[in-house]
Amino acid sequence: MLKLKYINAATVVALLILSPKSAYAMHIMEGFLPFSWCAFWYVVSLPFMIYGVIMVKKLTRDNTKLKLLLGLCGAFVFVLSAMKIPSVMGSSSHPTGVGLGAILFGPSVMTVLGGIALLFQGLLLAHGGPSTYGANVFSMAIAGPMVSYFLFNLLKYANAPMWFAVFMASVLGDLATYVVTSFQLSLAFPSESGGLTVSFIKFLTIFAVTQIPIAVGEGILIVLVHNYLTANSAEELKALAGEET
Amino acid sequence: MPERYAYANALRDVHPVEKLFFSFSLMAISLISSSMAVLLMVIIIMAAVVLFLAKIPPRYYLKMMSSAFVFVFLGSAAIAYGSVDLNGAMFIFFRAFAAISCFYFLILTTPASDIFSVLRKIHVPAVICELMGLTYRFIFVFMDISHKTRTAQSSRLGYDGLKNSYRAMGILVSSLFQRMFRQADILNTALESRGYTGELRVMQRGFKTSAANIAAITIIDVLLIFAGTR
Repeated sequence: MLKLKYINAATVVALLILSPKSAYAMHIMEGFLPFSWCAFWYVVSLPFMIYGVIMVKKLTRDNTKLKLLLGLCGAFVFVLSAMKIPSVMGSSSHPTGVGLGAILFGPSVMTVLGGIALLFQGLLLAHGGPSTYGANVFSMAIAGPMVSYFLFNLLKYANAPMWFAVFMASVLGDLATYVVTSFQLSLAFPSESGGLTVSFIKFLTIFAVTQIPIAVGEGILIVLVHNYLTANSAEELKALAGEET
Repeated sequence: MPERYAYANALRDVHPVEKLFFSFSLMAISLISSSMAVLLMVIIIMAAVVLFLAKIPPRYYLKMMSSAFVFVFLGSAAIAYGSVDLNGAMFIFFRAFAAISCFYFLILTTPASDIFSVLRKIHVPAVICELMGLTYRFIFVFMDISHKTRTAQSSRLGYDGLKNSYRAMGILVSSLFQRMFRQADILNTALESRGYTGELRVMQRGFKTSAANIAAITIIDVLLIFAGTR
């Protein structure tokens, strides 16, 4: 029992020391989910993906330029997620791009773009992997963008200041991703004593250390980006929003 | 980036379907299997194939594997945290490591463009394939632009202190966004002047299927399944 305590303490220390240095957005790594859960999340994500593809097809049917633009947007989301946000601890972390993408492109198109960005994160950066792809798509390209999008529109509808709407949409989009990932992990690995709830709280606390600062950092960044964009490229934003609806 | 080796390794000319089949079948076996021996065998087989058949420099493979090690270790530690089941955590650790070996084999030997051609064959919607192709191309363009902008900004002390860093990064991301629109415009003009009507057709590289490879992969799969059930 003593040995176990020692291992647990070492684990926490290791998590604290190592994770902020390489705090990537919340991917579930390749191989972490048992086969049945991999399949389950693929099945859950599939209808959203299909809906997204139908939307993209509709949008690009007689607008070839928009198709090119969406392809470039996918690259934009990827590059954004590969950047490092400066953080207070002197370490760095990566934004998810979920919030900005959802505000700019809407949730259904973001599902497709996010899915493509996730694929390349696997192929080019070795983050995530094919077996956990379904689960990662659900948390980062479906749940996150939806929360961001609805929150952004709700706050805009309630006449909240623009910066506040953007900030909350971005932060809560990130946090939604993190909560969903924790939930996915606790479903696959329920605690022997206490089951789902206990392990859900456990994963939430472990990831809170890295994810809450990332979310706030990304929120600040996205507010700045959104300010610059509204000041300098109002037309482009209008074009995207117009083609969206 | 592992992609560099995907274009220049000794298994470059092997049919991508064979490589995908090899990688995914062993991955599925690792995820389903409950035998530690099978997991270790998968790790060893993948390492041997990557090092001796694909001839990836051992130093690079070791580097990739050790950074994966940190992630996998932390991940399984997080799962094991607060639980008494250390054996279970060990098993999760090796299972993830085996699956990662399979995935790394794929990304080290197969370029993304070959994977697209397979996706096209299994009838992934054409729009998605085209978007992926465009994304693939422009990831490198934008990475380059963002890298140059960042260098220019830091040479003017743009990343000195937290407040400046955020401001500089905000400018970087929004300028990238504007560049993206301009690029799309330029690309559209360039393509339209060449008769673009919404479809990008490119020549596919020809690959030969090899019966020997398929046989070898099947034998490995069957042996692993057999080893797992014993």
